[in-house]
Amino acid sequence: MGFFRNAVLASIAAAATAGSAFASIPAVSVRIEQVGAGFVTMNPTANPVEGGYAYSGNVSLWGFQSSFELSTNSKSGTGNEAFGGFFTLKNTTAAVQQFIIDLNVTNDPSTGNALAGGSVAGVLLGGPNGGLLQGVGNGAVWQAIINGSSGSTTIASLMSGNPFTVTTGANQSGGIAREFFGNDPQIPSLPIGPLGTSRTIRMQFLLGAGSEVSLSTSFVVQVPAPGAVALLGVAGLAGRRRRRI
Amino acid sequence: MVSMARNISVAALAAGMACAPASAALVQFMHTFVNTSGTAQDFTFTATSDVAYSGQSLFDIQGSLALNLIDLNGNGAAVSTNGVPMYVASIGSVNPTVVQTIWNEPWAFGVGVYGNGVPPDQVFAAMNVPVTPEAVQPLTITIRLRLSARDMVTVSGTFQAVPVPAPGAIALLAVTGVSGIGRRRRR
Repeated sequence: MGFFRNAVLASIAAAATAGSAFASIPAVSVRIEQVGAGFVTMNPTANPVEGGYAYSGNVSLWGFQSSFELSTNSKSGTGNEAFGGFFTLKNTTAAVQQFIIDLNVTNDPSTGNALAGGSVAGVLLGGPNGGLLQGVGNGAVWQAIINGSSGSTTIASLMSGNPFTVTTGANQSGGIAREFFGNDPQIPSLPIGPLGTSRTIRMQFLLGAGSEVSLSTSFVVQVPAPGAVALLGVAGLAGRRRRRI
Repeated sequence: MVSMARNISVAALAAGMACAPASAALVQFMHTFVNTSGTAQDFTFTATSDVAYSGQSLFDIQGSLALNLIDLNGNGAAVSTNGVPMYVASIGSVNPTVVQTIWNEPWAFGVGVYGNGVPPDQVFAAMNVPVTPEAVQPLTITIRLRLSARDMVTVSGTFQAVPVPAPGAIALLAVTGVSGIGRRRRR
């Protein structure tokens, strides 16, 4: 009887976790900084699509042209919440430029600890003098950051090197090999503690003169839904009481 | 010049394309295809050089192709050919000569749940490629692909061609050079 009751509670808890959906529309912001020139922040409109929202925009300033095609998705079957898409940037100057890109999305309020996973890959199109994408010093090109009331924490860094460097020939296209954290594929698996109020994909790199890069990136998290947490708590208490008896 | 045929609503990112001076015509692009529908869709994208040659029958050519696919709706993503090569480079306007294809039918590339990735880079170069002479000979890249539902792919391609002087022209240049040398010597 006790076994049956616990099995039922466990299944209800699992179902509640898997049924996760956005409680509110995730707000996305895109901040692009050309180091030494300035920065711009955009807050694209959330357009509803199946399972989430799409966000797009483009901007040309100082020495760059940029566009992005991002989305958020809440997978009801798993409780995974994905954020990512494509970010494209072209250096329109005749010199190497440094850029810092922050793709930020708000998180649903949550309790409990989260799991995370993410990835980045890309294509590089060289200008007349060839293509160059390079990390800044030994720093990572890509970082996953959790933002909470107590500050920001970097939970993963990808495309690190001494420095990380990708090149192409003049007027030639080439791929930037994929890197990831969490399981492969990125079904969230890395324990990261509380999810915080928002999460950020930060990309920081040097881009060659006339080079154009398009990076595909994802940052996926899974947080037990409040109902599931409550049910798991009830199941735990019931088990403890039974052991005492 | 960029044109795109599509059979669904497409949110396209800005496509960057530049053309070189007449000495070496060039067409290159980077473009993101977004399938906003619930089923796989076919896309066609064409990029043409602003510079066109005329009456040339031989070219030295080179080019490249790269691709980046991502899944964000949690069911994997796939991109494939749709009956023809994904990349076709051609020279000419009325009866264009196809000089290079990449990822011939059947070809497919996929990523897993929340996955992304790039297939191996494709680069080509060839000399003395014969072409049907025409009055107007722009370079064109045509991309045709099939993309899975609610997924995104970025494609970047290049194509450059330089005409090879015909044997008669080479002989004429040689004669001109010899006569120039003779003239200088006589002086």
